[in-house]
Amino acid sequence: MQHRSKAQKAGVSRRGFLQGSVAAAFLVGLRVDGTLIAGERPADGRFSAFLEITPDGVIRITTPTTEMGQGIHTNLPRIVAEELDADWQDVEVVMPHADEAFVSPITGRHRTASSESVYIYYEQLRDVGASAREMLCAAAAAQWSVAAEECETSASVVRHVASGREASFGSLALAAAAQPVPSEPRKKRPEDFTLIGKAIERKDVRNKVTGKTVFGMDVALSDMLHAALRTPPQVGGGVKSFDPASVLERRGVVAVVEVDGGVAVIADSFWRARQAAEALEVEFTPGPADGLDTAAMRKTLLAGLDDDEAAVPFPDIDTQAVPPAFRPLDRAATLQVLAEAQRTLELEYEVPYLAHLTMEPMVCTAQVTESACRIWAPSQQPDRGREAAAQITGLPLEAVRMDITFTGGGFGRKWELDFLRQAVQAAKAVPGRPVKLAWTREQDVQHDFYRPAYVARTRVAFDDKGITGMYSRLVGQSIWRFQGRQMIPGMADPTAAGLLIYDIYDFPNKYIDHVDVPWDIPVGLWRSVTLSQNSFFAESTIDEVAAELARDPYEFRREMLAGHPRIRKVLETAAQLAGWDEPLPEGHGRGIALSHGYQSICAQVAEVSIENDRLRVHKLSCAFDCGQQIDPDMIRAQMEGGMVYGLSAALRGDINFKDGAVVESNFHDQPILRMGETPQMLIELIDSGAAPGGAGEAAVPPVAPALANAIFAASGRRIRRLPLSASGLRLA
Amino acid sequence: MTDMTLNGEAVSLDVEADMPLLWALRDHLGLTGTKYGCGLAQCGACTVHMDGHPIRACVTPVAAAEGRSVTTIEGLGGDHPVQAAWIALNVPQCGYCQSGQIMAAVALLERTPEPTDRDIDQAMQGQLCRCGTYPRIRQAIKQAARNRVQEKSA
Repeated sequence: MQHRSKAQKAGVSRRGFLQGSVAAAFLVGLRVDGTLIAGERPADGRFSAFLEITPDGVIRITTPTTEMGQGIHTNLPRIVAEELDADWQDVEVVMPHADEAFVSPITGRHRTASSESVYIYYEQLRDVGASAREMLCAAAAAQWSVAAEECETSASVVRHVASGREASFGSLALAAAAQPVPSEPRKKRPEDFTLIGKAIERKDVRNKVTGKTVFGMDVALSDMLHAALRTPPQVGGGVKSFDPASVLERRGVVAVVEVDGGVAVIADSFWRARQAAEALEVEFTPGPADGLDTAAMRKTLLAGLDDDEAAVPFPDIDTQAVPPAFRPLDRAATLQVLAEAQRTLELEYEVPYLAHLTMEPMVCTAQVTESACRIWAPSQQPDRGREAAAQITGLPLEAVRMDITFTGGGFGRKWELDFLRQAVQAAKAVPGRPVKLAWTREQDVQHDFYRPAYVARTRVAFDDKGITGMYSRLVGQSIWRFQGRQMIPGMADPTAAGLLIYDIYDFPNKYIDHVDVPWDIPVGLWRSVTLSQNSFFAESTIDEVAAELARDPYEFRREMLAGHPRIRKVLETAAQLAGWDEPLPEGHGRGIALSHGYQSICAQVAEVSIENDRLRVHKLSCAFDCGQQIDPDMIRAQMEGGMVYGLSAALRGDINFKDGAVVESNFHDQPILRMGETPQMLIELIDSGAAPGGAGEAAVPPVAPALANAIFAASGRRIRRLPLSASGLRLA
Repeated sequence: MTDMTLNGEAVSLDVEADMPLLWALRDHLGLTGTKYGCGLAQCGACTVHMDGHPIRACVTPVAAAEGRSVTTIEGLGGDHPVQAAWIALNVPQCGYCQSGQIMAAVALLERTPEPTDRDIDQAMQGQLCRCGTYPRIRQAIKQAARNRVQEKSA
């Protein structure tokens, strides 16, 4: 059918899965150690580079990290283009593939995580652009017999001002490739930036509004098959036995194969594969949560609060030491302060398991032959994904090519490699034929790597002047343990403590410990990870102390930030934006919360009112400082999106277990925020002049505590458990 | 065989009558702009027009399209005022839900050329976006409405 071949052909070539051609070009790349490599493309084409300038003037810049919505597809190439002085219209963005060439010299990884993309590639990509610019100038200078310093660049052209000569980057490309790589290219002063810091059109927006973008779900290759899964009811369950004959006769079905965590049915369309998967006769084995349900799990979590023997301290990290030293905090001193304090508070807070709910469910396409494996995946881990495919196929790493597609939401879920492994396992069963393996929404909700449920108990010592000591205990599954990462002996999962007690707040005697719970429910990275719960625990606790002292919660925080003017400014900006001192309508209340992470700072004020358990969120005001802004409009978009994401969780996010299986299954019983429920949002960005920080996760953590603190201000009702629906509160 | 008009062209489709239109469009007709998000008419990512009305392709059997005219995001052309407004405001983040959002917005403006906020809330309430682009979608609908009205009066 004509429709099919046309669209399928376009689907492959349009996004340039086969990166570039082997035509001559000037390439600039980075070695793993951070040094630059540049020159003409070698004959074998094996030189993956960030930047490629062709003789006909096309400037191709690869975005090393995965576009999941955050705009990195526009913003990393823009950093190269800025220093290069490229005409932005000449720039074509190339999607990443798994390759050492794209490993960050800072993290040693090729991954998309921790809102770090800008700050782990910023200087390196500036070097790439600035070096290429100098080499282009050197090439022009040699042709014109003038000094390179006399040449200027703008809009993809080198000019010699005195003589009026000029040459396009394209015409100079091959000559530039023969120039030596500058050891220290001269970079622009931020005040001279023309692209960085400006709101521009996203490079991916036109395809995204015309349906042309190829997400992982949209990969279409000739001769491709589709796979659907049959998964066990319990999380982490396995396959005991299955009968392929029960479905092999069905229309379109090609093969039935066991994969990690289920059985894949391979057919000529997804729907046929899915119908067959549902009809398959199969028996499953129990998962690690066999017999567990939410009520019993909650009891275990709460009991952990009293389990002194199981408690392991969090390390204090001495970042001045080289290498950074881990040392326990002083428990005895904190306990003594608590015992002797004039006044104390003991507060218990809890949060549930949460699902990611990316709009695009898990999906991956793989093709395996005797000598090669190809993968097309919306993945946050190109490096480990490629390694996993090599391990599954038994092929050397060089024989695996992994292309990263556009990603229909990541939020940490597409960090996991379960769906990639399944696709490669399925593709092995039909050698030579590409197989696109996709999950249903139900499988996505019921087989996620969840944000773990946590409970926290915080004991606070204080007097009329303020806080004199704080002891927080966390109970919940360690993500590090689940991921099999190496723990620090005698110390708790260091990531779990983040912001549980604010190190920026100026008070003494802080102590934190952790009780792990011995469950192997799959847990993982959920947009803002630990901060998503700890910010709620910590910023609610601070608010409770302020209330006990009859202090204004904003002023109370502000006074404890004397040593952190940059952070204090963000708090002040949020308060001003929200009109903190202005009178409120009857029944309204404001709550404030602060969060810092990803080398950025975010403060938010929520304004709410409640009537008969019906909550109205009138306004969210957000102040944000991420240092050097790459694009203020896209940063605002991340603030808007982060607040919506945080609101969804605070209001209704709640994954429950019954006999080791997840109760919820789709958007009807795990609803996310809708357009009509989205409050007015005011956003102010602060240009502090600091180095760039991350924006993707930063707006999520303050939402829940700002909201809960506002509910207290409006009603006197203190929310200590999320979601709000568990406290009987609903949106009006 | 199911015969329908798809984006203005006559199409014959030899698939099971109960196959959802979504999968027929995506896997058998190669039109991947229409997305799978839930399969239960809960998220709106699969929104297409049938005889001008927005429908959920994930729960609409192919047989229901017999003799009908179906328009997908690919059929909008690319220069539609709604698409132009979406570009002007950089609405999409991940973009996965946006085909459905745009199809719902186009249907709204056909029906209600100058929608109020309440009209927008009602028309768009079944269109989920996990990235939280809602404020921009609202702005873009209003901008598209203004541009359409201006075009018509010009």
